[in-house]
Amino acid sequence: MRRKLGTLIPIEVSILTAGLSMLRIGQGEFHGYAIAREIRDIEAARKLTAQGTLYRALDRLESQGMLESRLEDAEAAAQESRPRRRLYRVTVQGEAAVASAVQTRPSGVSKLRRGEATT
Amino acid sequence: MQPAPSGLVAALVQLWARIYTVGLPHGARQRRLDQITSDLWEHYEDRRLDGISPALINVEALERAARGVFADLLWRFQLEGPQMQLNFPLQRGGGFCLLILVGAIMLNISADGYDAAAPGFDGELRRLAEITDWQVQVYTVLQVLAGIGMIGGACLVYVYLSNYARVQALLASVALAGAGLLALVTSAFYMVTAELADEYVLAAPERAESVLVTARGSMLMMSALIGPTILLLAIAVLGFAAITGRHHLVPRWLGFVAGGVSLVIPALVIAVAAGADTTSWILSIIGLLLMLMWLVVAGGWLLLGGSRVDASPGLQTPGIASSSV
Repeated sequence: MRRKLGTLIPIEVSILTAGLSMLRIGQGEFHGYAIAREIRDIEAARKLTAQGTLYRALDRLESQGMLESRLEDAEAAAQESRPRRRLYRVTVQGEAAVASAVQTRPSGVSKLRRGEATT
Repeated sequence: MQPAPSGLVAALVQLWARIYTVGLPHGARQRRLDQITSDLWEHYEDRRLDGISPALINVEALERAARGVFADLLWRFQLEGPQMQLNFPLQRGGGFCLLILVGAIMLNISADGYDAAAPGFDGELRRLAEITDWQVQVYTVLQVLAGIGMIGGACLVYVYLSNYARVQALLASVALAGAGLLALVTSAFYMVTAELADEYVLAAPERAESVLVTARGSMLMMSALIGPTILLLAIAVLGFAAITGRHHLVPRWLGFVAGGVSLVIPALVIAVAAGADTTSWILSIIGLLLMLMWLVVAGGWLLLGGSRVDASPGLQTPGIASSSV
């Protein structure tokens, strides 16, 4: 079933929540693996979100304007001898969407803690 | 060039990403490949700093990628919608498959390098036992890949050639897929025989005999499968040769090579029936060489885009520039 535009599924709420949590500790931008680790820590999950689930959700959130991304400077990556990261940032729209999702589904918070969504 | 995570598991995960992004526009594909490469690197580095052993990190990485396979496929499907656009030429894909077949055939027939005759089988088994487990595993994995490659290749070659001659393409592809299945079965017998060889060397004398008999049975099954596999491959090659020759997709002189294969097959069957071992061996080698020659030239020709557009009236030439499925 196609879901309504702007409706968030649990993995998307998890990503946005984790992104905002990182923003609060001064990390406005995050890369894919970092957000997977943050979600695991927040939700006290045993496993990291699968790459397929994570990047599909990140792409979808970006296409809906709730996240924006940029490729980090090549120099920064080269200095640390690692691949370039794609850095994401939660937009104002994303912040509003997650606030709305949590408000409308207060009981869903526990569901969010289950981890990945399957849709 | 970007540093990339190394190791077999990282390579497998990246290979999977390459597979499910194949044919996407360059930007979208590269973006996903970069995401995966970076994620893998961060994962390995982060867990290494946590003091986790490399073997455990490998298991984690593989399990994590495996959990996301369904989402990967959904992502790919939703990115393009039901009308999936394959932005790679099927002709080149078909050529590539034919070239892959060359390697698969070589691998498959190399499984028959052991003499399963009763006298001296003890020595053969000991020779097999001397091969390290690692070598056996690598060989088995290659065999399995060859089998899967043949089945996958059959699908792709069918998609390419069915636009020219549907029934003939179907028959040839089924023969090729059948050869792939037999190759998978052969690999299973090889692994069993190798296990039994190890067991034979270590077994007590009173038990060794039964292990030897079982191992010989497994080896005989393996050897017996080689013939049908080659025959199915020959049928597939002849089918592909007939279609590509008729529609001038490959050089005309390759028709003589395919004709040679078609002459060798009945002669080989007669020689085997007559019990002429030397003649049948020579005919097998000639047939195999002709088949490999056809595959190398035709595969290379299609891969490098050397074919011309078919002139048959009303035929929509598939995938010369791009093709949609």
